[in-house]
Amino acid sequence: METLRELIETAVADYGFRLAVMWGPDDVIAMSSLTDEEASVLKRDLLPELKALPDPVEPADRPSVNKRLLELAEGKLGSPSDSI
Amino acid sequence: MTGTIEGKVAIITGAATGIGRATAELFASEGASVVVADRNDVEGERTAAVINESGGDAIFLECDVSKADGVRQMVDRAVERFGPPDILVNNAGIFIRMAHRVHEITDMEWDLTLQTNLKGAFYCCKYVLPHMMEKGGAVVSISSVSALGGGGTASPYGISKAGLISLGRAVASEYAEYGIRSNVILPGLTDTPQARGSTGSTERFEERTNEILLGRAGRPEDIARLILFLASDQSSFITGASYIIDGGGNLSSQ
Repeated sequence: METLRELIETAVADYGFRLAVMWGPDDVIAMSSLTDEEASVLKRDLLPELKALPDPVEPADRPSVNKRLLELAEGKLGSPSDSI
Repeated sequence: MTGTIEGKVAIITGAATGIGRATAELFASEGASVVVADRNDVEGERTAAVINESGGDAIFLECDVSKADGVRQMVDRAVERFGPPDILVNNAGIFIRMAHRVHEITDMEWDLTLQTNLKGAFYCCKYVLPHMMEKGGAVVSISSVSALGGGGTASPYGISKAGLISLGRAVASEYAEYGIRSNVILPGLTDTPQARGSTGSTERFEERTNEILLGRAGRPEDIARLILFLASDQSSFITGASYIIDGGGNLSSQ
């Protein structure tokens, strides 16, 4: 989960990295140490959220956005029925 | 419209937004058939639609320039639709901001940046140039003033953009005999989604505009006009050159 957390926080803070994740998730997954389950959550659940974020996410808004996305990811990872 | 590139076929990478979109729209208004190549299918389709609704001729082709097969297929489809390209604009790029030094850069940060910004341009040249060799053409690659810097917040970006200058000169040198010119543009801060997003905050973006001699960030249209000049026959005696377009930003930072 730590790798996914870092990935989310970087994508929220940095639009360039977010673009890389949004339009090349398979590359990012291949270059990271995400588990298969985390990779599925990233592609299925987090990508639509990342694509909907404003550009940029202002510094004051980042903690709440990070919290929301992390909770989303943790919820999906904790729910075996949602796993692929 | 002055028809500067009337009847020409142009492939523009990263044309869904920002400088690429402005260039696609300008090229179409000047009479070129335009291939809008990008990973961003939503904005890419939108760019092509805007051009076509304005009476231009454009097609969107989804393409990740960091993938050789994807570039080859994009070029093949472009040739099928419009014929051999006369103009290639290597514009696709990403800027990953990082607050650490060279020894702390991760493989991911390095590879994502270099694969898109430099290898992507290489792939586009590799698959477009053979089509240009019969009748000539123009390649314009979009580097950055970051190519002239010495690190900062994104050294892989600057390194990739410095590589583009060298790639541009290599193409100029090796393909002049085929009537192909190759030039490079180094924009400074430009008001694009990428620049605003990667600066980190709206406040910081505005602060940076105050560091520019001419008092504002570049507009995508500013850069597009220079790209048009270098892609057109108006610059028929220019090749192997690099042009800074930054409102004097490189002077004010000295």
